[in-house]
Amino acid sequence: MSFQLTDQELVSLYIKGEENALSHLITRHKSRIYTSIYLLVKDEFLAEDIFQDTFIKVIKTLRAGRYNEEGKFLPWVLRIGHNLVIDHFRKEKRTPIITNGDGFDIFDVLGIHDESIEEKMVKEQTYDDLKALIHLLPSEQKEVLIMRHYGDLSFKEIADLTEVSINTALGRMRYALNNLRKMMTSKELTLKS
Amino acid sequence: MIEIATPTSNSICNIAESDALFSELSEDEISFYESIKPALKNLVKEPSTESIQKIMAISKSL
Repeated sequence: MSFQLTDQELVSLYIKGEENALSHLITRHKSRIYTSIYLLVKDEFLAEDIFQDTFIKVIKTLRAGRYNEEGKFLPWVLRIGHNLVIDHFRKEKRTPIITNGDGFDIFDVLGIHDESIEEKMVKEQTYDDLKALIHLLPSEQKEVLIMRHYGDLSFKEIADLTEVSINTALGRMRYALNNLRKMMTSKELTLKS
Repeated sequence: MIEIATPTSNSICNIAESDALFSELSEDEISFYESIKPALKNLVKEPSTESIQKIMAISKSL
């Protein structure tokens, strides 16, 4: 089977019973999907579980004939994964969503976590520096950054997935970038290449 | 942070238009994003082989 088949063609083949088609779809998109889930939950083992659960839902939906052929495969799978992450946090009575009704100041967060983040940065001295900063972002900003960069979703797709307007999704991306830059400047961090 | 108050309807926007909005970021913002892209790329992780095998096994069992 050729890797040049489109996602839609592979989905059609899988529905007709070609198991290898699913394998090709997973191979093609696994990095984006797993990375997106992992950066949201920050736990490799949990991310593995949610990754598996995501594809189990994908499989069941495809086999039940409930997949919308007009949709794009990757955004659809990312939406399933995203919803499972939300379900997990609700179940664990921890929510990654921080309401910002009274405003959010990145320096408040830096102040609270200052010492622990400093110790981690000094010890690891790796690209974990940036990962730690991403984890400090408000959840909705982190979501947009992850979905845009790793999921390669358009802002319309992100807006649909997170149930906000396109302008809000774009605004969150701007805040994410600006807050990352503020943190990097504040901590005098430079990324190693 | 002040939440942006915007309409929630996306019906007038297509994907091409929404991505054109990204160009409305300032040059500075785009430049910063480009500067961190290599580091973001290094955060990419792969699921385990076992996870994929489990998924395929479940698919075959259904």
